[in-house]
Order: sequence, then structure tokens, then C-alpha cells
Amino acid sequence: MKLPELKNYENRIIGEINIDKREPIYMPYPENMSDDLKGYLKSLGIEKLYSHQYEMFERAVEGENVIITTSTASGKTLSFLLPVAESILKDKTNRALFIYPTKALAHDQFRNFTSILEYFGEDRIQCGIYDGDTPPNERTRIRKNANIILTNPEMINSAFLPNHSIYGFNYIFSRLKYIVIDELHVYRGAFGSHMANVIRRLNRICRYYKSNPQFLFSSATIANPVELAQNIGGKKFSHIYKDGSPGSQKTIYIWQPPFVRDTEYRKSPEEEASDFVPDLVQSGRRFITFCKSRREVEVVLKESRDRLSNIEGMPSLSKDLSDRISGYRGGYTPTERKDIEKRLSQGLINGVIATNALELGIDIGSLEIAISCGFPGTKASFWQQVGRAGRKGDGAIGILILDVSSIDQYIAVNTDYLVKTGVENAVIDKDNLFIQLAHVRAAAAELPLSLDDACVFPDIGEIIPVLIKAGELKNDGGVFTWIGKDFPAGDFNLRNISSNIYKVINKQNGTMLTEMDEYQAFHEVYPKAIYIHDGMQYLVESLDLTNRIAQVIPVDMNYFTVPFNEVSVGILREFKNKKIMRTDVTFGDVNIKESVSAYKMIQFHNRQNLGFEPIVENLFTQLETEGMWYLIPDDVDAVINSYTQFNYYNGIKHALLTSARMRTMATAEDIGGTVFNTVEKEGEVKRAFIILYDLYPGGLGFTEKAFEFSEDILNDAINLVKNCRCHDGCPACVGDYHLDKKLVLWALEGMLNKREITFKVKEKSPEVVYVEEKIYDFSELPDKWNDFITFLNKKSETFNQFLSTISSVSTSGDILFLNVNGSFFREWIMESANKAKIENIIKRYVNVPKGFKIDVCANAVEDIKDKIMRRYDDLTK
Amino acid sequence: MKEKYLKEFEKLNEYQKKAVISDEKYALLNAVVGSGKTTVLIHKILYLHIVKNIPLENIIVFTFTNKAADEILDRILCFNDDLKDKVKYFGTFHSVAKTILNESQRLETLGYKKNFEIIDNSKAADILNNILDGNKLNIKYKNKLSKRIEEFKKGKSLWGVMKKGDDIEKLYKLYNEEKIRNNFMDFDDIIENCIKILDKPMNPPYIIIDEFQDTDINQFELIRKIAGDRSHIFAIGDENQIIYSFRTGNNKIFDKFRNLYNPKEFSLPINYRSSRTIIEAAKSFLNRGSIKSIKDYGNPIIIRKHYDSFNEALYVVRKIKELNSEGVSFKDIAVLYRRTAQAEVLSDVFKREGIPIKIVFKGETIFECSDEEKSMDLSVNLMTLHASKGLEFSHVFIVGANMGNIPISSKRGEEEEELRLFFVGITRAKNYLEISYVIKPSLNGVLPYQSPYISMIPSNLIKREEESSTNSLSTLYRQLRDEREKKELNNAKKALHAKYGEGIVIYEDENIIKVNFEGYGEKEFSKLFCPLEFK
Repeated sequence: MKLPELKNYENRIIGEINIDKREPIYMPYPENMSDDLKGYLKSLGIEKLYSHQYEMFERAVEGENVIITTSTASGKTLSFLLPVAESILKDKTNRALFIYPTKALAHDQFRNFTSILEYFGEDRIQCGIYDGDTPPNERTRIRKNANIILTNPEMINSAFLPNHSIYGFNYIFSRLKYIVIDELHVYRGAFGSHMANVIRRLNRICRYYKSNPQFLFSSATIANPVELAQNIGGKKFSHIYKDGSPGSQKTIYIWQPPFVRDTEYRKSPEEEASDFVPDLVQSGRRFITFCKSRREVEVVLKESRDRLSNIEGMPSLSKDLSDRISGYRGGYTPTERKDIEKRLSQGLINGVIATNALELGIDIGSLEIAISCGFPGTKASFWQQVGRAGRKGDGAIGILILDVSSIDQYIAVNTDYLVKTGVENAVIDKDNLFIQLAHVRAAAAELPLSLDDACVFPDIGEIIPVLIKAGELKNDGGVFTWIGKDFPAGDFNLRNISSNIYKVINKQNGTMLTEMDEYQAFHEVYPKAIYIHDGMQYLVESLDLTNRIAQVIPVDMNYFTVPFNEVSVGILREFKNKKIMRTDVTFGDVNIKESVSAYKMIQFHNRQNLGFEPIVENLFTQLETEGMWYLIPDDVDAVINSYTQFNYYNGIKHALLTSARMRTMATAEDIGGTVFNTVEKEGEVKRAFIILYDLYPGGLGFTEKAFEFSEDILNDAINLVKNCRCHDGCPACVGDYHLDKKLVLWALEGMLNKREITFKVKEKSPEVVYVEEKIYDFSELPDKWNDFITFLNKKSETFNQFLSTISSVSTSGDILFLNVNGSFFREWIMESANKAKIENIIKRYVNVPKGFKIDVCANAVEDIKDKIMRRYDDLTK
Repeated sequence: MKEKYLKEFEKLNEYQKKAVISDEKYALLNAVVGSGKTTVLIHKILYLHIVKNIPLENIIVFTFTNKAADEILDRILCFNDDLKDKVKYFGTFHSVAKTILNESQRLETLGYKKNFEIIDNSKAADILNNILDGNKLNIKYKNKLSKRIEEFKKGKSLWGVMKKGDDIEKLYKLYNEEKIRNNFMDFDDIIENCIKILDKPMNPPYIIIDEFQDTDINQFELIRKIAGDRSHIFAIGDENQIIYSFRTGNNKIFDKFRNLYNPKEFSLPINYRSSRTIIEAAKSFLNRGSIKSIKDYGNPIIIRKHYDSFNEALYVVRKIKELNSEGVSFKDIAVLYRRTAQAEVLSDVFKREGIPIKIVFKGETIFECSDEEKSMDLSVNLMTLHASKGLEFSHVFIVGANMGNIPISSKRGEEEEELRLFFVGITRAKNYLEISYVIKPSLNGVLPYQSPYISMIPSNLIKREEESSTNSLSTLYRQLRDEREKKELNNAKKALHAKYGEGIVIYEDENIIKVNFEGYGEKEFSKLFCPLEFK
């Protein structure tokens, strides 16, 4: 499929990936399927199943635990639903849990259950969503009657398991036949390790109630789905991977943004999207655009809407298309989100600008185009985003607008990276000592620990004595009963989220716009920030840190704000230290302070930097955690610092961090890293260190484990860089294709043995790529003035409304004369701030001579001021 | 027979003898808990019959339950089987009143026929609902019909938040008509109708009332109607065990009796049932009088804290299994709780663990006490504190003794009765008493602290399980790692060097050995010329 809208952007498209259409494979209804269920499928017009749905039914009925990894929109929900419904139709006391990673996803998926509920009626099958928002009477109904319960991991951890003996949960557990976990790939790193332990506790409680539920999991494409399933479910799994659903022919375009004017900065993916999205809306395309942050969603939304309400040649009253797009991100209320989903699926809007909340399997109907503003970090995630397009089986288009980040720019050169190399592993460490400890305590409160639990929690033999000594457990004739606090399952978070919630209040009417956690608040609603919600701008008047309230007022500004971060490292306590050849590794408690110290104002549409302001308020988040740091030998430090063109420390950090994550089975959400310098107390010698730290308060044991393996990790890092198949440096090995991996390798090896530099470090090669040219020459401006105004209008430049009232211009030397009616405008234009702004607008798009200025030629034919005065005279007579 | 009886009589203590032979026209026997009151009651009947030659049919005996009546009868029949047919007016107020009604010529003046049927509360509720459905009545609080009828009889036609009246009077009238049409009487009707038909006293020589503290105003009125100028009234009770005043609507029945009849008072002050420890504890809850104990101190009272009701139940089951293996029979064990709702988790856990249980009800249905199968004797007894009155067990567990549950938070202002209820509970135990509470309660109004009544028990009588403490997860984690390190250190190979002292071997291959010495750091030695000594 060729996309005509891309014609204006042809010079940006630097690569293309084509994916063939996939033909469907159908199977008849399974023989052992009940007539009841067949009747239901017939009522839906489903006369046959996709092969994977058939396979799932057969395996599930056989009693296997199954993981399915077919594509997005391949009908995975139905494949789960059929065996589960079959068991409920046979015995209406049977129960099934469907666990979704987010509340929003559970609500979205609920739609897939309505037809079966309606068909069979509440006497035969009931269903309900059980989460933090469920009202008490509905909770009671669900616990009593719902056969299928949709919920999330947090509810299992903090409601289902701790209350298993009361409120009717005991009945659910004793009748539990199936546990369905959707989007299994989300459970990686610490979150996945927690989830594995939640399931350990769940299995344990089921054993008490003598039920033995079967697991049905689904996952996006990852390298190790079966391993992850077995790690999390704690049982053997079989794998369904053959996709029987039809797949659209897909074309993925790689879009390289041009450099801005004559700088070496590229335009951002969002700027490009703001240009492109209105074109798509105008031609009625159905699309989704993914942005990396909430702010970027709002900026793209606002800019696109501005352009859509300004479209030239459209009668401005009736054909404003700005309501044909919408934002979609965390922070919108559930009602707002539901409304957007509804309007999208009904075709009332063409497209959404979304954060990756929509990456998960939320069903928003069929879309033609998925645009990713920047590579989303992992290939699995990227393919999920692309998968949002083409749900109907027609051709589909994915567009990856590259960011300036190194991995994006690596893809620019090596498009194959997206298709030829394997997808990422999802690793967890379910035996992480901290996580195990947290869940052993929770488990002990749920059911006394016994010898049988040694095969549930491998380190229980070490944990129990500590808990007894701490007065939390008691040996009660061979079993260990919990005598500690009332809610040990509430002592930890499954995910790394702050519990300090800030409210954003619209001061004008006192309503709450949204809520956000502390980190987001410091980055989005610092004082004087422009916070954008559903395309509306609000100026933050104050951020009250005590009551956690941000007061905002609606405004209409021509800029948005971007905060600046600073990270500093403080060493609190050193626990262990060891020398490895020329480096020295220390493990200890550290304080990582990230402050939001300033912000810059960026003008909409042209991304001009309007200025930089410090933030007076002390906005910082502190993470007291554990870290381990490598000393960089002085000679290495000196060489690295001598290369000023790029920060080679980032390369060393990248290699060490990547190796540490692999060794400790952690993700980017689990371990962070940075470079820091100290001043030695006596000799005042500056030393440089690379620190890796747990991204959890108090630490989760990742870097402690890394300390144990510090020598291996260093060697792994060396091998990672040495053996990488890239030519001289890539995102995989050194994190940034600009960096010469020879120098990074030298530095890493220099931490072990002293080496001489025997190679030449590559210089940054000048990149010749399409640059956005100035569109007009100074001399042709008088002739093309009307064209120029139309152009500005399309760009939604400030003052474009005013400038369009100027009918003509003339030049004289380096001066551009604006011909205006009346001397009032002359005074107004020549006011210095206005003058500078107008000059800037013109400079931005016109090749102007060095001494360029503007002046005004007031039309003397009839001075309006005089005219008004005369009329006024008439009236007063 | 007289001789045989007198031999038995000699086994009584002085207090008991005095009560048995007293010939006062009106007597009130204040019997402390476990003082052999039932024995005295039986002796009184036998004494009157055998020594005083009063025919059994001339003695009316009111008991609290029919089961108690049967027990008394059994023990009398043990003495002489021939007495069986002579007994006529033995039983609860309801069953005696039923007998009187059926014998009465005046029954038909009320519109009833002989052999009327007695309906229980649920049947009564059905009838009320049918009337509602059939008559388009405007009634508020439709799910509380019985309560509303009850209140209406007391003269309250408004209920709850009602501001103006509804059709409750009409409903009441229709209900009465419906019952008469079908020859039905509900529990209240039996007593009320009996009072109505007694136009002159039955005037029996003797009226004996057991559990007098539980007598309500209507029942007392019935006694007054029955009694005549030749009647003796002998009431036995314990003011410290008034726990049904929410139903009798009265906790001053003793005073009323005293005022009206000026009875001669006797007492049974010695408890034969419980260990001295339990009696000493019970004394803290006495409202009036005292209790004498004749037993040894025995086991201390165990106070235990559990995590939640589930863990509490698991523990009780484990403990009972242990007791059972030591020879304590299940039937000698009772688990007592304040609210019926607590039985759910308990019975679930007992069933899962395979311990037979019998849930004993007494509470609401006095008339037909649902004491079921006889074979249940091998089961652990589960019941509310209320239902436990009059029973005794070797081992007693009182569970859920939390603030807000004991005393129950919904009964503000009735703490005295709650205190008596707790008193009744602890005095059920003969040898072993364990009271527990939970730190994660799940029932409404229950707080995660021990009942204030637990702290009223003198601390020298109780044994508490060691106190727990709370820790932060990160502190525990640090401790866990320290332990792990310590262990690793202990497992490590140690080496001794003349100069550096003791160190830990950190690396060893065929040629070299590396040792870490405190204060000196790592040192490497060649194995060929090794100056180290190993431990």
C-alpha cells in the first residue's frame, strides 16, 4: 500500500520494510466442544475457528497449561474464553481469574465478554471487574456469583490472597479452575519477579483449598515465552505460536526528520508528526500516533489541532476538523478515556495521539496507520505499536519517525536491526532475596508456613529464623504462624511507583483535572509550567508540596515548557569493597538525587527556544538505595576526558550497565547508572566512578548481586563490546553509534590492565542529509507576499492573522517595508518587542541580508484616526 | 424409696440441703455458677414428692429449655421409673402454657381449637409477607416485619427513621385473623393466650422456676396467674447470668419478685465446676455476691493473639488435635464466640481439617431447641456465648475476644450485660480456658486490639504468648543478609599468619593462595613456601 499523504515527505523516507500478508488457517469446531458453546459461536456468525483458537481449546481441555504468542488482534481473548466458558457451562460453580496488567486493560477487555454473557444469561454465566474502583455491592456480587473475574496483580496481592478465608474468597479459591494472564511479557524484571511470587502464593492458597487451577497465558513476541511462563506460573507450559489469523500486508516506513535550518539539530519526531497528522485527518485516514511522553502527546495534539482549525481554503465556520483527533494517555480520567475509545470506534474521530498505554491490547477498532514518534525502546514494544494498524486485514502502514537518540539513528543506518535480529528476552529473578522475603511474610500471614513451603520459596530456611528472631513468626508445633503486623502484603509495591499522589486543580472552577505521582508532578506541573490536558493549556500557578496540589489556570500561550534534570550521587555508607586489578569496586548505600532545576520555553510550531528560567522551588526526588561503583583508573579518566566531542563515559556506563542487567536479570526499570566524580579527602585528587544503582528505595538486591559478579560483569562488558558484530560502535554495545567502540573497549580493558592506545579514534563524520531550506529569498518577497502569508498560516505562526492584513510589502536595501493602513499600526509594530518577533518570523523562513530590519509605511490616503475623530465630532455636536 | 432418697440427700452440702428442705411459701435461691443448682432442683422435686408426698402432677416446673426439662426428668426417672406418667407440667414456659391451653375449656373463646399448631418465626414471617402481598398494604421496613410487629405490640407504630405511620396496625389485625383462621399460634401468642384464658388461678401446691433470671414480664405474669393462695413459689437463678435481657426486655426480674412476694432468700455459693484460676478470674466480673472455689488453681488462662480469624481457627484446630491425642474427648471441648457470623470461618476450617463439629444453637428458638442428632457426642461444640449458658466443658476456647466484639460495639450502653455474657463464657470451662483475639479482624465494628475484659483478669492468672513486634521490610532484609554473610564467613577457610594474624582464604588454586587479613588487606602466598597455618 502506497500512502499518497507521504508524497510531500518523500525526501524523509530513508527505508522501507515490507511484511507479507498472512493467510488465515481455519479449523472446524473442536469435536469435544459442547453444543451450547457451538450455538453461541454460530450466533456470532463464527462458523470455524482460527487454528490457534482450536489448538488452545484442545490443549486446555486436556488440562495443559498453555502460553499463546500469536499476533495482536488474532482473537486471543476468544481462545481463552472458549475453554473457560466450556468449564463454566458444565458446572456453574466453577471460577476463573483473568489477570490484566492494568485496570484500563481489564475494563477494555470486558467488552469481549458481553456477548457471551448476553447469550447465556446470568443464570449460566456471570462476570465482573474486581479492582480498586469496584463499588462494595458489586464486589459482593462478584465474590458470590461471578464465574469470571477480571482483575489485576495488585488486587490479587492485597485483596484476594490476604482475605482468602473471608468474604466468600474461600469459595472462589476452592472452585478456581483457570487463571488467565494476558500480556505476560509485561511481567519483566522486578515486576515480573514480584508477579512470580504472587503466583507462588496463589498456588499455595489453591493447594489449601484443594483446587488446582490451570494457567492460560498470552504474551507479545519475546524471545523466551515458555521460560517466562514457567517462571511465573511455576508449572510446565506448552506453547501455541502458530498464528491462524489473517495478517495484513504491512509496510513500515523509516522516516528521518530533516535538520532544522542550518543547524546540526534534527527536527523532533513530534514536530514532524504535528505536520503530518493534519494531512492524515484531512484525507480521512484512521491512525494512531505514539509519543514517548505525556507532554509530547499534548504538544502534538495541540499543534495538529491548531493547524486543522486553520486549514486554508476551508470555510472556517463549518469545517473545523480539529475535533477529529484526540489525545489518549495516562492522567485522563477513566470516563474521558472511555469516551475517546467510543468515539474512535464509532468513527467520530479519525485518530488518537497516545502514550504507550495503548500499546497493550486495548481494542480501538481498525486503524490504517500506526506512527511511532521515536523507537519505543524495545523491538517487542515497537512491533506491538505497529500491530495496532491493520486490524481489519487490509493493508497497513507503520511509520517510525526517528528520534535523535543513538538507537534511533542506528536504525536509520541498519534498518535490518528491526527484522533480522531477535527480539528481547524477558527475564525475571523470582528468587531475589528481597522479593522472596517480602512474599514469605505475606504468605505466612495467609497460611502458616510448613515444611511443604520449602519447595515454594527456596530460601525459606534462611528467612524463617530471621523472622522468628524479629518477633514476626512463631514456631507452633512444627508450623510457623504469623504474629507480626496486620498487613505484610502492603509493605511493598509490585511496581516501582511513588505513592505520593498530586492533584492538579483548575483554580478557575475548582475542578480536578487529573492526578499524578510525585515524579510526574515535578516534571509536568512545576511552577510556571504550561501543563496541557486534552489540548487545553494551563499555567501552573503554584505547586503545594505539603498538600500535594498544583493550582493551574487556563491560558492560551504560544509556548510549552520542558524541564531540566540534574542527577547527583551521594555516598551514604560503604559496605563492601574489593580490588579487581586496576579498578576498585565498592558496594554501599547511596543517595541519588534528581532535581528539576530549570525549564525552557519552546514555541509551538517552530520549536524556537524562547528562554530558560530557573525553578526557584526545590523540586527533587531522592532515592536512597544501594549501588556499586567502579573506580576509573586515572590514566583512563584522563584519556576519556580528552575526547570532548562525545562523552565516552556514556559508552563505558552503557556496556557495564547492560552486562549487569544480564547478570542480575534486571531491566532498565530495575537498575540505573551514571558517572560521578569525587574529591578525595586528603590529596584532593579527583576520582571518576561509574555507579550502578537499584531503582527502588532501599534497593532490591540487584546491585548487591552485581557486586558479587563485579569482575564477571567487567569481563562481560569487554566481551560485549569486543564481540559485537557492528563495525565501530552501535546502540547494542556502546549505546551510541557516535562513539568509537575501540576507545570504549580500551577504557574497559584499561580497568584491568594498563594498555597503550594503538588506534585512531574515529571523528564524527559530517552527515549530509536533507535539510529544510529557507523557502523564500528576500528579493522575491514583495512578489510572493501572498504565498508567504498562506505558508505562515499553515505553519500557525504567531501574528499570522495580523500579517495577513498587510496587503503588500516593498524592499529598500536591507529593509523590508510593511504597508499598513494607518499610523496606529506603525507605532504598534515598531514597539521593540513586536518588531523583533516579526523580524524573527521572517528570518526563520526567508534568506535575508545581514543588516535585515523591518519598517512600516503607513498608508496616508486616509488616516483612520482622523476619520474617527471627525465622526466623534459629529456625534458630540 | 424414702430411705433411698434420704441417703442421696446426705450427699448434698449444707447450703444445698437448706434450700431443698425449706418450706417457705416464697423462696428465692441465689445459685452461683456451677454450684449444683440443677441437683438442688431435682432434689427439691424428689423431696416434695417422696418426703412431702406431693403428687408430681401438682408440681409445675419451668425450665429454660426443653432439653433441660428432659435432663431433670431423666434424673428423676433414674430414681424411680414409675413416676413417668405423673409428670405433666414440666418444660419451658411455652410448652407448659401449651399444655394448659389445650386442657382449657375456654380456648374456643379466643377463636382457637384444640391441638393448635405452633408456628416458628420463619413461618410467621411467611404469613406476614403473604398478607402484605395480598392486601396492598403500605408498610415500611418490609424485611423487618417481625420486629415491627413486636414493637407495635409494645405500642410503637413508628420504626427506624419513619416520621409518619403506615399500615402496621392493619397488618397486625390481619395477621391475628389469619392465625386464628388457621389455628396457628406464634411463640408470643402461646404465653399471651394462656394468660387470657386463666380467669382463675390453677393454684398448684408448688411452682418451681429454673433460670429465673431469664424470665420475661409475660412469663412472670403467667406465673402470677397460675399461682393461688395455696401455691408455693420456688425460684432458682443467678443475677450474674442475666444475658437475655435484650429478649426478656428486663434485667430487674429478681427485684420484681422480691417486691411482690418478699421471698426468703437462700444461696449456693460454692462452685464445683471450674478450677480456682477460672473462678478467681470470674470474680472480676461479678456484679453482686461472691463465689467460693474448692478446687486447685490448675492451668493458667491462656491469652493468645492471632493474625486473623482464619489463623485463629487453624490454631484452635491444631490445639484440639493435640488435646485429643492426649486423651481429651472432642465432646468435652467447646469453642465459644460472640457472633454467629464467626462460625463461618471456624466451621470451614474444622471441616477441612476433618474435626467433627456440632454447632449448638439456642439463641432465637427457645421453644423448639434444635438440639439434633445424639451421635454428635463425639464432636467439638461450637456455639455463641449466649448458647453456652447452662453448659459446661472441660476445655473452652473463646475466640475473637477483640475490642468491638466483646463487648459488641453495636450494644452501647449495655456493657453490663456484655460483661455478664463474658462471665458466662469463661465459667463454662472446668479445667482449661483459652481466650484469643486477632489483629486483623474482618467483622464490622471489630478493632484489632484485645477485649477490655481480658485486661480485667488479674495478670497472675493468665499466661500470655510472647509479644510480637513489627519491623520494616528493609531492616529485615539487612538482617537476612547479615545472617547470610555470617554463615558464609563461618564456612570460609581460615588461615593464621605470624604477622597478620587470622585471615580468610579468598582464593586458592594449585600454585597460589590468597588470604584477606583484617587491617592488612589481601595477601598472596605461593603454596610452595607457605607461611600459613590452617584451622
